[in-house]
Amino acid sequence: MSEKVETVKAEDNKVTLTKQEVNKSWWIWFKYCLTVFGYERLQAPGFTLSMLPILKKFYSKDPDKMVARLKCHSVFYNTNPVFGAMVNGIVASMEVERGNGAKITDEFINSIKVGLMGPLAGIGDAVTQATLPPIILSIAIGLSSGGSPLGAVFAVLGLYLSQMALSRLFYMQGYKSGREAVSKLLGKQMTKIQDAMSVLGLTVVGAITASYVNLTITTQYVSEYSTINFQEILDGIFPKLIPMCLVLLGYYLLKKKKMSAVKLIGVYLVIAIVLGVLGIV
Amino acid sequence: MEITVMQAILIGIACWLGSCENAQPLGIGFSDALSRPIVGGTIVGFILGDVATGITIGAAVQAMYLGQVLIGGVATADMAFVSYPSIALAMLAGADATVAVTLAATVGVLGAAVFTGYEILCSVFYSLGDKFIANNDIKKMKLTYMVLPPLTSFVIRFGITFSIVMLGSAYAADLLAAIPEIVLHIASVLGGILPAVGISILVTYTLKDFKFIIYFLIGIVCITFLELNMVATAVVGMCLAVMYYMFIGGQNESTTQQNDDDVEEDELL
Repeated sequence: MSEKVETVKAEDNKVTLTKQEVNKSWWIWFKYCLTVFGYERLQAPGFTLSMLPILKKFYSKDPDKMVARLKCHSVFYNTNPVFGAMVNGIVASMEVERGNGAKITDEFINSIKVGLMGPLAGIGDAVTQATLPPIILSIAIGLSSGGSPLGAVFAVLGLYLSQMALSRLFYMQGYKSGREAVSKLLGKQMTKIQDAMSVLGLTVVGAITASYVNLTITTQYVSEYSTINFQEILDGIFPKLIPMCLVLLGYYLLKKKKMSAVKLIGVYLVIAIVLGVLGIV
Repeated sequence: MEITVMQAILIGIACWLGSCENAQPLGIGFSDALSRPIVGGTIVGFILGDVATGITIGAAVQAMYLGQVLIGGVATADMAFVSYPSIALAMLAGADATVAVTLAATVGVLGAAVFTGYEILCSVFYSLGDKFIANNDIKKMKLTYMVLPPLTSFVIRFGITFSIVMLGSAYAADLLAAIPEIVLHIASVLGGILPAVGISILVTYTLKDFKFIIYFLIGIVCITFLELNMVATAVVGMCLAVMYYMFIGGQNESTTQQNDDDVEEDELL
């Protein structure tokens, strides 16, 4: 009986997801986005799982279509877990349209996923990896001075709540605006927002460099008349010049020389050994 | 410091809970929070019954890993291994914070190698998942995606942490004493440089146009010359970002696409 009602409903006005189903789809993404963490397809399983509640609603009695939809979503996917929730929201709303008979091809859905995952990862990593954690954790370090567990409590609450709130916000925004969001996200406006975010990210990254990269020259030039302390001279010109150069060297090797991060660690190890053995630092 | 089997088991479980590849009951943000050394140090301190030392070491190790990022599955250090076995080992050996940081740097790099192995191993789950999808066997697909990876990760994380901690209680102090001075010195120098790896990766991903390096310089100057703290610098960065968005962004195109730019300005108004 209830099935009949639902089919009639589908013909007259469109089948929509209940609030619980939307919430469930978001929660599955927030929980399982990094499950099966392999290089091959990274977040593809997480994305597929988060689409399940929606696909089940439309195709639970049509195995062929179900398989086709699942296959469509199990291709390579990788973005920022928090900001990327927006893509899940957008694709979920498109899946609903598609389930209601709108003509949306697999290629279109995939091109949207591929098109959005890059920009959102760029902004998302600038905010949720470069900006928020260093701020929250540096406050936490301050709070934990003297062995107080307050720092850890603050870190857990700060990191968890900020990520959950942002993830939910982005999913719901994506779901609400659906396809309209895509043109906005891929438009010029988005490039500007991305650039503005990298302004913020780079400023904080500069601050982290100055605060937490350390290499101090300890060797001194001692002559009959005077002692030259090289580090003092450098500090007089530009404090933290060496850490800055180390980061710029890292950037140069990673970006221009296409060096892997592991090799970069090796380079720094060689620097540390050479300088350490010579007694310069 | 002595350790009981029960304590080693608890640390092993904590390491597993704090690893990013595991779906936690509370979601990704929670394992992310648990993987931080300051949190790990506190938890390990609680388990070993010396909270203050755990927190002190955790905070010192955290300072080194503030710029730690995980982008595209490439980690320069595995945070779960840094936060649990390495801090526990340092506490068992009675090491001070400086030595603990060195130890964490070493364990972190080795842990990253283990994690890379796990990431390659995961290909098995992808192909298994494909097989079940082709058969429309959603239950088994869910099992492959949701249950098997955490179990595999448990075997790796728990196994390694448990053995390191148990062995460490017997040998860590002697081992640490046997390391020559120069090696410890080099390791501590390396500990000071290593944050530059994560930061370089971040710069590579956020710096699209080299001109933007000026903002990196502003960040350094805020800390060194202006002596602002991290929060104040972030506020400065936020203001700069908003200013960039309002006044500067889009001007690059204005020389080539004057018309489009006018339209965009209208939209903004």
